[in-house]
Amino acid sequence: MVPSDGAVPEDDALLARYAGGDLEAARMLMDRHAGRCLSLARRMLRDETEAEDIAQEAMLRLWKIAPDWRSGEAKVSTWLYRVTSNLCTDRLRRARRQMVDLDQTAEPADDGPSVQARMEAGERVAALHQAIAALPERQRLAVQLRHLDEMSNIEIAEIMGTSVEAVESLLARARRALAAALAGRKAEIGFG
Amino acid sequence: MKGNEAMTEADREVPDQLLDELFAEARAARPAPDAALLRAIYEDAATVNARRQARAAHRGLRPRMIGLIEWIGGVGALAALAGCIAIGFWIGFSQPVSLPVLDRQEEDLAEYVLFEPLGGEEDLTASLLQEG
Repeated sequence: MVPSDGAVPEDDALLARYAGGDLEAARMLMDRHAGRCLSLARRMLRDETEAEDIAQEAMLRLWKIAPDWRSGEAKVSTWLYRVTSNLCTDRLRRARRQMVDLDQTAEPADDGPSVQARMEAGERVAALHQAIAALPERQRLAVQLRHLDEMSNIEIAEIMGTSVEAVESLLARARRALAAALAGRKAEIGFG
Repeated sequence: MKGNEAMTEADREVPDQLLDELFAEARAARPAPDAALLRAIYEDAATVNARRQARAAHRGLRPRMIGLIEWIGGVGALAALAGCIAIGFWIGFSQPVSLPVLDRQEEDLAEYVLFEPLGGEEDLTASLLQEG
């Protein structure tokens, strides 16, 4: 059900329609957001199966909260990303605890190619993903949300539970680190 | 010397424009979610929706029931009404019972009609004397 004037319905409106029983609205929300949730989870977890679990769980939470959603209080996309990010963080913490329990305290190498990096075609993109993977966790999340998911700094601040200024600072440091990391691979990325 | 340092610094980094191009390529190369995952997410939406509607239907029935009970006069009145209805059904459907007292009275009445003239004992004597 697309409005007669051809306007694209807002996420809030779609969620309200879904809460009223309209499954087509759910499909539209899924088409808009499932891919992004999955991308974020892939980048954070670097495990395709776990990333799919997280994306499905995040969307399930959206379906469940639909009747209680207060329009205008938060953006659906921001809320979904925050849920996805939190679910990933929880899973990473659990995994780390299990590693400690098993007395395998060695951290996984951050600079190895991620699943996404391997999956996506092109040396340039792979090089970028490797450089992103080597960033500290919060810088990595900020740069992914800003430059890969094209979210605003305000949205990123909400997702990460921090201030806009802190996000700007994280992004600035992340870009500097990426520029430095990729400088050694200029030929690979077709520059210089 | 200063120029050389600037050149070295530039060599050590890639420009912002190139970074932005790389980000754009990465966005374009983002793999789409698997069809099985999308199907699972959609099925979740359908399941949650069906459960919610079932709960809503159940909740919708309760206020109507409560309204009906209040209209009758409360739970006590409803219990009394139910009791009356039950007794009514019991009376209506139970087998008729014979009532011996009534049967006996009918027999007595018949004897009275046959052997006791309406005028009483004195009237009978008088009529026999007249006949004699």
